[in-house]
Amino acid sequence: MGCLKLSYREKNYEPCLKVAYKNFENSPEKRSKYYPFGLTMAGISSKAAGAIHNRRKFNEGTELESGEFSDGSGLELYATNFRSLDPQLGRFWQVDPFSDASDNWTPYAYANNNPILLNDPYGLISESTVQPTPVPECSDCPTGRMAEVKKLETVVVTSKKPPSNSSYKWYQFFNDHNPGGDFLYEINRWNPIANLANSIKTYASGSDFYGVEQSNAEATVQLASVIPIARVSSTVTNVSLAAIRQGIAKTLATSNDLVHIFKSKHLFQPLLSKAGSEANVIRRLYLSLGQSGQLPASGNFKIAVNIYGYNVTIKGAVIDGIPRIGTSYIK
Amino acid sequence: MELIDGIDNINDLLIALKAKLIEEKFNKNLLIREAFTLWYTLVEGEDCENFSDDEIENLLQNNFKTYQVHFSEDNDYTFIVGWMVSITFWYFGSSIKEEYGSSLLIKAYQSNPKNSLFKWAIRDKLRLTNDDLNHLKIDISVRFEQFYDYGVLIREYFLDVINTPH
Repeated sequence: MGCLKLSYREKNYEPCLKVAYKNFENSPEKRSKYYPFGLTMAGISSKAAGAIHNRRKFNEGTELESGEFSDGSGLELYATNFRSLDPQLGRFWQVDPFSDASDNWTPYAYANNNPILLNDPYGLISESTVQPTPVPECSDCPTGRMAEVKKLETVVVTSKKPPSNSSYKWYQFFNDHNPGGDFLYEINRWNPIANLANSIKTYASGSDFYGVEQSNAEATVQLASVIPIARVSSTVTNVSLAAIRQGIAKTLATSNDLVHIFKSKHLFQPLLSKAGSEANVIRRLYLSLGQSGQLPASGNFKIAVNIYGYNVTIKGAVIDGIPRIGTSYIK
Repeated sequence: MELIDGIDNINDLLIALKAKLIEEKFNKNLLIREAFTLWYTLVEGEDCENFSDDEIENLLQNNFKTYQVHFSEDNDYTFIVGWMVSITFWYFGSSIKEEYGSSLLIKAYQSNPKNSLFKWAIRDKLRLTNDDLNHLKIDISVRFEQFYDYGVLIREYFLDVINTPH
């Protein structure tokens, strides 16, 4: 593993930044080298022939739009939810929607022009990458440690990686990086063998393979979905997954939307307990909208769905083809 | 206002506000209450026997036009419109985008940075620490009326959202 030497030095100190990530457990560790604004250093890193191309190594997992065209070329932009970052320029292509609140910076700036210490995964707000964790050791770094800056305990320039918590399931890596969410669930929803196994597990233990408590009735529905006709009926939807993903991303990016939806009056606590997080509930709400087949092409909607056995009312609107949830509540 | 504050039923509250506004067309206090009550009725799906959803949406848009023409420089009115627009911008006309709501919240805060409620509403932009946020929540919970005194419905709504963990 080589080091990215920075152009500044301090007395008796030679910083070394290493960028490392793991796809998931038991896979070979891979390392990448970047220029500060996310442009991959050519000739090294994961550019090796035959390597699986991970497009989410920078800026907290922002997807790199690269190699989309048949000749191998691509946009070479990091697509955040709201803007596109050009790593060669170190600038966004679009103006900051909240530029009024950041008048110290050009509205095209990425991470306050400080890409080492800050991220901007949504294209809206610069976030600190500084974590109060011990500085990792590094045998071939001049200081014997990875990146370190005075007054800061650690500079983390790794892409998002699974925490060491043993309860972290390998597929949660995909969920964390996939606004559509629940990767394994979505794949297995179309897999009759998985549905059969899941329903048996639910009958036996009261919870499915995802750790979600399910009633026997829900297990029966899963069992029924093994039959092709039931699976066909569940695919009826009039909105694309891409549009749903955009709706999910926009809602999750706005704290005010979240506190409005999850305020106590809406009685989401039991659903939150089952789903595990607000993000999971939001994903479920949007996916349920798509599956309901009741979404209008545009305009307001009020749709009742059943999620984990709860009757949930969802109110919102379809704007420019993207569903947006304004309110949701259990009654 | 005490008479209005004593009304629990949303339908009756809207009727009372409309009646008062006929007498005092540009009473800011009444207009803010009306705006929020209309919006709350729409988003929460409250039963309202005398008003259909379309009627309520039209009334909300009329209230919004009144804000834009006569009260766009008023901090309190700007805040409540900013909050409503940022969450459900589609109720305010096809030309209104959610970024407009955020800009109104920022404008309200910049005009009155000592208002803890205004500050909390743009906590994402200010990158507050958890301690700062907790202090803000306590401050708002203890003396909400000093920051925003426009009736029981607004107070209960904001105290609920402020104490929602996020």
